[in-house]
Amino acid sequence: MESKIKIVTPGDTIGSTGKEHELGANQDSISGPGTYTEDGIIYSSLAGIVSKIGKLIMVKPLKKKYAPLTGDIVVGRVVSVEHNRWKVDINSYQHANLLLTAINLPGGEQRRRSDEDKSIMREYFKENDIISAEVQSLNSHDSSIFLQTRNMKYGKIKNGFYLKVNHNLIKRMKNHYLNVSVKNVSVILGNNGYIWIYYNPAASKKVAEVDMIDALMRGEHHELNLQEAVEIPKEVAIGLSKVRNCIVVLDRLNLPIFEYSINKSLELTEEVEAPFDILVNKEIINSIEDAIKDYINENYLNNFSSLKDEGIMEVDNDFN
Amino acid sequence: MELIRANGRKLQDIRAIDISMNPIKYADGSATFKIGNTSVVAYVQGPHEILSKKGKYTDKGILNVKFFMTNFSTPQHKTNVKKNIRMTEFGNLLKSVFEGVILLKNYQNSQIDLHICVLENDGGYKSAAFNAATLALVDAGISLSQYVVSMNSGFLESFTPAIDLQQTEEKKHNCDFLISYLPKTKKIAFIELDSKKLSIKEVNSLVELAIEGCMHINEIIDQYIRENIENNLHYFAYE
Repeated sequence: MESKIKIVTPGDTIGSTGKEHELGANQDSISGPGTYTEDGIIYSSLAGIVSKIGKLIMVKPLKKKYAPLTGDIVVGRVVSVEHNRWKVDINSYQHANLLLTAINLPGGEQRRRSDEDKSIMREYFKENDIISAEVQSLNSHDSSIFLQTRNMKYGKIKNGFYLKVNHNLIKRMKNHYLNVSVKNVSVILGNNGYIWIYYNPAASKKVAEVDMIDALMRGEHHELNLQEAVEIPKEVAIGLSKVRNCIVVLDRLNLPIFEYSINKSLELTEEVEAPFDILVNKEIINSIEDAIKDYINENYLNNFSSLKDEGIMEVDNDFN
Repeated sequence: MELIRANGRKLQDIRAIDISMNPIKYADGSATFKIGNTSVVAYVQGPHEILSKKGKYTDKGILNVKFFMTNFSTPQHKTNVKKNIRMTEFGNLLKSVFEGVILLKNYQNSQIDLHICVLENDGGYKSAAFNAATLALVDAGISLSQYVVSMNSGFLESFTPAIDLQQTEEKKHNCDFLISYLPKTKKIAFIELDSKKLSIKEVNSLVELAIEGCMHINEIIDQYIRENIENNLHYFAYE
């Protein structure tokens, strides 16, 4: 954390690429995301705070369209089937490409994709299917996005429903496949703001993910990748809608969505009988807000707010 | 003695300004800009995949602008507002101004949609549209080289130049003057004069007044955006 936070708006001078300008510490910098250069001077192009990594100088905005990074887990909807790829809507600046060579063939077969495979692409994924995938690579030339589903975790997802939230609330975490505290309910938190809440009979067994992958490697069938849609029991359906409403409330309150915040809000709404009460009951909403804000203040903002109180981290508005 | 206008303003005073950012939650960026009784809402969708099949692969992003005046925005309710040619014309104008300011090089193979809607018109809706669009683009986190701010001016009785005319004042002299200004480089982005015969001296007085107003609006917008970030600093903390 920098000791001084600098707020800039579009057009502000934040540094220079040469040494001839008198800009103190920001001489001889490299312009990064959120900036542009003109005549050797670096200007901000966004409204946000300045952050520096070595010589690289960049501006972080409050809000931004989702920009994928390699390794992100995303939930997406297949938009079209093309020659040897699927186009997937992942809530980003472009549709992502899922190549035929980047998917898992049924039965885990390892072979070259033939023309025959191209002709039956719709049997794997067809339009409007919802899939989970990982970002494999980004083309640095035209910034097109490539996905892969070469793991049994990824692929077509079923037995649940889809939800869209503000993607800025989902940070990058170790695990995006969560087993929440409601029985038999799991959640996939896509980095792109698309969330899949689904019925997972294996969730209650508390299988560690490492064990699950081991089982898959041995070729054992696993419930996670259920190919057939199953009937969802009534208790589970209520649980699903409870989880959904909790996430919607978190989204409305602009609170981060992660394992703790979902489980905490489920704990606070345990006694609620009808799931829609979570959305309308102000007492419940306020209790969720207070509990999670306290947690964030303790665990994340500790350094941040204390710096502000002591006056070390002053907001510098006259930075020009 | 200085002239006092109908609503108690002096000649250089602008009406009260009210800004709000992100009023529309499911847009990527949105803002409302109210000046007096004029209110304009703008929202941005994108950058996203190019929807038209023409020009799918571009080395620059595409900007689409739609300008719309609601049929209840003026004292006389209009029908068939969709067919109004003036609206499409002004939309194209907005597009040409903002194409120069948005760094479209950063958005290749993508498309940005900017929608501007006039909810109430009490004079100066065009300048309010420019200001609202700037705020919405900043809220959406789209790269801009600088702000675009705008202000209108005109004449009251006996060629007295005044700033930020109301609709009743606009009608008096039938003079409509609009400036869009780039405050950082101090350049004029767009200028429009719709009036009877005027001398150069009179036009110069209008330009000076309008630029003064633009700088004032620039300060207000800049201050609002900084305060908005300052209030939401906790956003950057849990990363």
